[in-house]
Amino acid sequence: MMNGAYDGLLMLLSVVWVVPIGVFIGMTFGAVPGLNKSGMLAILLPVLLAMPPEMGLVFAMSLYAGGEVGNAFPAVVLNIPGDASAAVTALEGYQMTLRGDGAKALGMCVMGSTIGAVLGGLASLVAAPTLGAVALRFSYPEICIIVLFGLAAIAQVSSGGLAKGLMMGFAGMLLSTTGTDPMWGTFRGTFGSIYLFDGLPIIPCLIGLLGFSELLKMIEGGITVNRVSQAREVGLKGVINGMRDTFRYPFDLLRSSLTGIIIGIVPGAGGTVSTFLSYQQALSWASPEAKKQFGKGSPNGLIAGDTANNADVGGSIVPLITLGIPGSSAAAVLLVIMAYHGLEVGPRLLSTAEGASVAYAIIWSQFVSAGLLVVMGGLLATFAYRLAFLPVNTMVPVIMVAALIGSFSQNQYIFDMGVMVVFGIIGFFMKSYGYPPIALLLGIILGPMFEENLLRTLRLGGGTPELFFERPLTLFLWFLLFLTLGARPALQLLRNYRNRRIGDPVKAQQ
Amino acid sequence: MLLSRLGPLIIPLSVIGYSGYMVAEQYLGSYRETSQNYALLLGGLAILCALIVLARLAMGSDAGETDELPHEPVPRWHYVQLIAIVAMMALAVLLIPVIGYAITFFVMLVAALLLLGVRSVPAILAISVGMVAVVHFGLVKELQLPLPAGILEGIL
Repeated sequence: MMNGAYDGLLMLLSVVWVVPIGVFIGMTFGAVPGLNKSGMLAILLPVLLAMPPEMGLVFAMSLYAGGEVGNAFPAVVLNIPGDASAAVTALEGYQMTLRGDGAKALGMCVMGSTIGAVLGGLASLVAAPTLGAVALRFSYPEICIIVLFGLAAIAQVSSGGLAKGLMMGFAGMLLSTTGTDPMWGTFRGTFGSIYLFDGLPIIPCLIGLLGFSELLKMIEGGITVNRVSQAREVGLKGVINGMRDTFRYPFDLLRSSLTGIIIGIVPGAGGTVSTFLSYQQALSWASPEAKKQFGKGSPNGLIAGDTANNADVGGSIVPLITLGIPGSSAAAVLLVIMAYHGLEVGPRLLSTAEGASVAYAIIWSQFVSAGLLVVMGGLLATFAYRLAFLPVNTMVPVIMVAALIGSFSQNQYIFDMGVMVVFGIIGFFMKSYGYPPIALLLGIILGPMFEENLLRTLRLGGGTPELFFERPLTLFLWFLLFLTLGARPALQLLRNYRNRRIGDPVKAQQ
Repeated sequence: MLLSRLGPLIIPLSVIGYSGYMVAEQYLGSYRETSQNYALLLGGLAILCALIVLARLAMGSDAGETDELPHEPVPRWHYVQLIAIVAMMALAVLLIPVIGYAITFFVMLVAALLLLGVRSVPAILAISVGMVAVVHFGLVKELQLPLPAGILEGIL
């Protein structure tokens, strides 16, 4: 493991020049309202795939980290969040701007994000080898249960509910059976198309579900062009003062980082959940005096949201590296890049020399990104909010062409462009009615791994599923899986029972 | 109106239809037992979840939205834009092999920019020509991406 960490550091040094470019582009994209991080990564996927694996992954991580900070700029200055995870930033930051503390709020966002990124990076550096050592004990049945665990966790935390998440996960796994049967060589679900004989192309699916669908949602919501008359003055001195003032809130910084890391590790929860949870915690832990400030420009609330948002990045790559299960949509893009380059995705990643080096290069790159967030974020904060004035209606057609070319680039089939459009429409309907696209994507990506390990387990068990219930580790994983699936309904039942006992029929029905 | 009523049903019904097709294909096509059972396992679970979702929708316990905030009705013009953009993309996929990427992308960019409210002719021309130039010189010539040239084969 130590060799992997050292090799990873050396590997990072050879590609470290892409980090500032990634952070800069990430911040720039992040500051444009409507373009979320996973959509940005999906659109840039062809560029990321064209690079060597370590460079593409480090570049993607830098984009991811930069995007988390960039979305705060227009949120603070103009009350326009770059994406949903910056809603808390807008809530508190804009109020600070209205009372003349906009520059200070921006400084706090940048410094809070930096500290969150550093602590998130440290957590992944410590947790990845520990969890990786446990993951190495996983055999075929354990890997099957882990895939189910990932789907269950995403389904449990997704806004649409457990049934919707599981339905999309299983549908994704069924979709992944498209193509040639790995055992018998027969064609499944190809609808007679020779383009599907090699399986469903993952990259067009990803661009469609995360990128093109986001574009369609943007058009549905109405493309507004913000006017430059809303511009405000933001000075560098104020930003630096804000950065310094951030250290007056050490408990908020630590608590929010911890929240972000834990939420990041849970597959599917993502930045938005961590910011709101962290904000809610900051509110409940605040002194009565500080509580009065919430919603009126509270530094505690602002720091809580932005710190958790960036700590979440470090957390989300832990399950990706150790188990092959992405913690967020952006981490799913990283998984696709790894799989595209033939890296052993899953519990074996850290056991191979190349895999361990790449994994540690990703982890180390977070610290470089964090250092750059202070410098570049501080400078960009003074004017990057003006990117919210970019006419989005001129960008949408350009992104449409980029999405088409990105889908074509993997197999070089025009057919794949059609797949992207179809999955874009599916993603649009899913997002419109509360179905998590990440569950479908995870099913498509992890389906082949699940099928392969399931069939091996059954073959080793002589056709019976007894191997799934023999080892203590498998039994423990089953327990965790059922806990994940059953905890929320059980708590709801308990709450209903208690409400019924105290005679509150309205609450009991809810 | 119709979409708001039927919209929430589209995904679960599609899942049921697709899962049913996959299972039926395996059984009617006389596939191996392992393959049939695997499709039945996943398809069955997906259909079961879809039925739960439909039941929740029928009971009104699922609003079908991603959040609980009140939403303003989407103006009809936005849907027109949305359908036109999807149609443009589908048409582009069909036309690229015939008329080539350069003409297809140029026409698509001009049409999409006009549809989304850009009225400045220099801006429309600059974006459309600029994007096609980037694709041609950057991706096709430099990175050797074999996008079909269509009727411009031999000229480009």
